[in-house]
Amino acid sequence: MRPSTRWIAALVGIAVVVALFVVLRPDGSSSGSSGSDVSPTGAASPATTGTGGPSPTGAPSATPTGGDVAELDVTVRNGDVQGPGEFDVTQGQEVRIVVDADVTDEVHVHGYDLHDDVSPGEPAEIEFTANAPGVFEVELESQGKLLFELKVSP
Amino acid sequence: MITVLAHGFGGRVDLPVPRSLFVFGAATALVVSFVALSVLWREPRLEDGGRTRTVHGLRRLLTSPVVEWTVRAVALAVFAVVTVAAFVRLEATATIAPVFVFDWFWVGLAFAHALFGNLWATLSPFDTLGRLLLLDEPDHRPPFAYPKAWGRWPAAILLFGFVWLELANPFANVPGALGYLMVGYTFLNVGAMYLFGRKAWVENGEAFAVYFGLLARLSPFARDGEGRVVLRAPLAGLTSLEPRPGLLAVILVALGSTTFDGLSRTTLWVSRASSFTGWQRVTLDTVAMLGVILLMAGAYALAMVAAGRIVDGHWHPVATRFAHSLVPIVFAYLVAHYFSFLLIEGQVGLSRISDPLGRGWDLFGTAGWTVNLALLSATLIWYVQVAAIVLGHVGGVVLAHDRAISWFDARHALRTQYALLAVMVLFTSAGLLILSG
Repeated sequence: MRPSTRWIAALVGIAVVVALFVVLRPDGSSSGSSGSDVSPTGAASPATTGTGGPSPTGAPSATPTGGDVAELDVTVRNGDVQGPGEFDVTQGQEVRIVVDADVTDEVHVHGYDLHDDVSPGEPAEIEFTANAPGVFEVELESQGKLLFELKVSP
Repeated sequence: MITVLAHGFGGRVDLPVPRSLFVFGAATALVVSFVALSVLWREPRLEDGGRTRTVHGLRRLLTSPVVEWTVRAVALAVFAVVTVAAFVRLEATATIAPVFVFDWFWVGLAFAHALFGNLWATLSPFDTLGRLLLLDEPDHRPPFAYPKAWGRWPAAILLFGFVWLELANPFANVPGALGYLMVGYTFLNVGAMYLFGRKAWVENGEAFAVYFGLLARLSPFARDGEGRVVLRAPLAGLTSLEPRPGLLAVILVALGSTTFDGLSRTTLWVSRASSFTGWQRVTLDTVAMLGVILLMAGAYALAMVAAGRIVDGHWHPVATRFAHSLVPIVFAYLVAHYFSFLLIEGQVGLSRISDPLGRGWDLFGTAGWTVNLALLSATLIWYVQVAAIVLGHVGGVVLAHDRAISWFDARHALRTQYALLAVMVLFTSAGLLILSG
């Protein structure tokens, strides 16, 4: 192949890659792509810009000002977790997790590192702003039992 | 993933890469492969190290025994502190040991090697101990010559042991297990250096020396025989990799274990495996990790059988000759899977250096620092992941091409590449698929 032809082939290759990227890059704002958003809101979340660390405590925070709270209730009976395996929320959204269990343990939201005690009749309640993206395990800590994965998408 | 770190560390994984970016990455890998076949150079450019340039400036600093031994002493001291910390029977992440070993050392040092060259040659506490104990000729005459047939198999086996410890987490309920293993590994190395000599063992058996040494060959920096810094084309260092038994095994263990780690974070896997606990889970993870490694080995071997047929050769020598072209893919997987782990979970280490043993100290005033989980946006992580995988693919294609034209005659060179390209596209797509799951 002559050198000029090779350059043309290389340029065409680059052009194809750039075109693919323009067409396929994820749209930063809403229709972002993967997975379905089962969360109740998406638009009205009180978009705190993602700089601050996780909120410091697991104590129920003040009632959210703007959007609705995405709430998930999980029940544990005889070692069986009753609830969806995954909880999808939008980054910046207020999230409320309620775990009702027939054992005494501690509910731990990994990454955000939030805890609350749970015992029969006294559900754990954890409320916070999901300002960091990622997939986080929520476990019954001492048993190491996975309750569900919290998926925070932009 | 790294459940040994369970508390306050780990338990976060990256969001799946959007389907569209996955398609973009896979398509780019295909385009690159075809363009490479038609336009890449026809004369080898990287083989035998390619062109190099010697940097004269830093020679005195880098060849100074005082500097070298200061660095060795500090590294040995750090190793000692981390080992002591690993014995502390506290909640796993209360000490510096887990974050240091599985994040800063295993991931951070791997990245540093690919960028800056072979740092472990000087930092390795095992190498330093071997030198201090005078396990080199002529001071020490090893009772055995290192068996040539073993090649790098000991390193492959020990490397598997490390990733098994990390990913199958067999000692989750044994406090201080990491400490015993670190001491055990030290004794094993010193013993082997006594039997075979320091140099032979470090080159073939010390898992991290072999593994980091492979990644260091990606770097544009190297040292020549007189300790001067030499600049070379990135990747060129891999062409002088000596084919030895076990080399492929080291590469495939690295590749397969990272792939398994990615696989074990996908929703599909998590939803099925979470019902297994205790030793059943360890067994499941072990079998799955071995399975992934063997599957990737099988795919590679098949491609080599095809390439071997074209040149009327046996597949095995071809397989070892092209092993080096997988190293960029190893590094690409590493970046894609652990880049955010280093920068986000790695922050835990910044607070632990002030309180390495979990005693409530605050040596450097950083003990109270918390992790900024929002340091990297989801989009940034996706771009880095896809870019890493695609660039790793490009690196692999370029290396394989360069070797093919230097090793085979022009008639066969390109045709041998079809099968290897196919397997690389397969690895790349699989890597992307896992990231998007």
